[in-house]
Amino acid sequence: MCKFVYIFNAPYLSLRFVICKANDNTGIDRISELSSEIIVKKILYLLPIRDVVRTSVLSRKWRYMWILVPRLDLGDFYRMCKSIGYGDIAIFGIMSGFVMLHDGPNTLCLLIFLWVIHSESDLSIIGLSVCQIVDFKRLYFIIVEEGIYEVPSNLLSLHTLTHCMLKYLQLSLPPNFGGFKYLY
Amino acid sequence: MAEKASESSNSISLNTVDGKIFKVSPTIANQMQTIQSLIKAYDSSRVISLPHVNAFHLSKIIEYLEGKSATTVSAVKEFEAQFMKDLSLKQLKGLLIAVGYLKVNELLELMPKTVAKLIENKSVEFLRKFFGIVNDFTPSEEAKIREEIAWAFDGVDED
Repeated sequence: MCKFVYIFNAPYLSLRFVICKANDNTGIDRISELSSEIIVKKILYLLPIRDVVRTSVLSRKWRYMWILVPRLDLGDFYRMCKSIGYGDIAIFGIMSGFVMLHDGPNTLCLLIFLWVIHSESDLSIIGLSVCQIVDFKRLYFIIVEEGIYEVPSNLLSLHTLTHCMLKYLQLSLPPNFGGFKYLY
Repeated sequence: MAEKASESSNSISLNTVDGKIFKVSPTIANQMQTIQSLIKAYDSSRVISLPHVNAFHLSKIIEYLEGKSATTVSAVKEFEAQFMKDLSLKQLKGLLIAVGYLKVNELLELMPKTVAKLIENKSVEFLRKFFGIVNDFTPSEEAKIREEIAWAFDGVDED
């Protein structure tokens, strides 16, 4: 299966297109090795995002293994970047790359932490990157500081949402909105 | 006494790759999903060969399955902590492979937690050694990836 991977990380990764064969990267058949299933779903799953992404330097086989990890805790990532002095715009660039690239087959939960956003345009960019994920099942919008923020309207186009948690967010529903059919 | 006799006649024989035969009770054997399905498929009196598991790993798995039946939650926790502490890095990896092959669900939950704690914030070189990975990047390719994800390398532990 040929897979199209699209990386867009504004400040620290250049815009590029990479074609990789996902199966070739992950299929470890030898019994003397840990299976990629255990590595990805059991071990990397438990590690902070920074450790997970760092595995892409290990070897060619590992280059894109991290994108299969079912859960990326972006909140943890945000706090870590802040603590080492990255600015919001830089962090946003890296995060939007994750959101677009992330390919966890059973995305359990993708925590999207929105930091305090002062301009509406930033919010709509985040909305746009969220919409790139076709199978997006769960969405948690959590704002790290209190205040009322408008939800990007293209969130409503995510018809496959099964879980949705909005905190400190205001959602305006258009009259023709049919609802999220799969929401529990 | 009669019950004990019937239990031992029900026991399942497992033959490891290094030729050691283990007799385990059905309760223990059924906690290894791979064995469980083999018992269902074949006559239970047959010796089951395990071509990918050695005696050390199987004895550790049996030790765990027998030991975790302690009565209190705190006793189980203590037992699990000691069980993990006794394993070297190399043994941990080998055992996890065996556990993955035999599908021992409880150890498949417990062991990755220990491994994750051990490799968290460790250098790329440490991980290559642990997972047995051969670096097939050219030095310039590796340097380029490191540069792209420079944020991920801040404050990594020294080996």
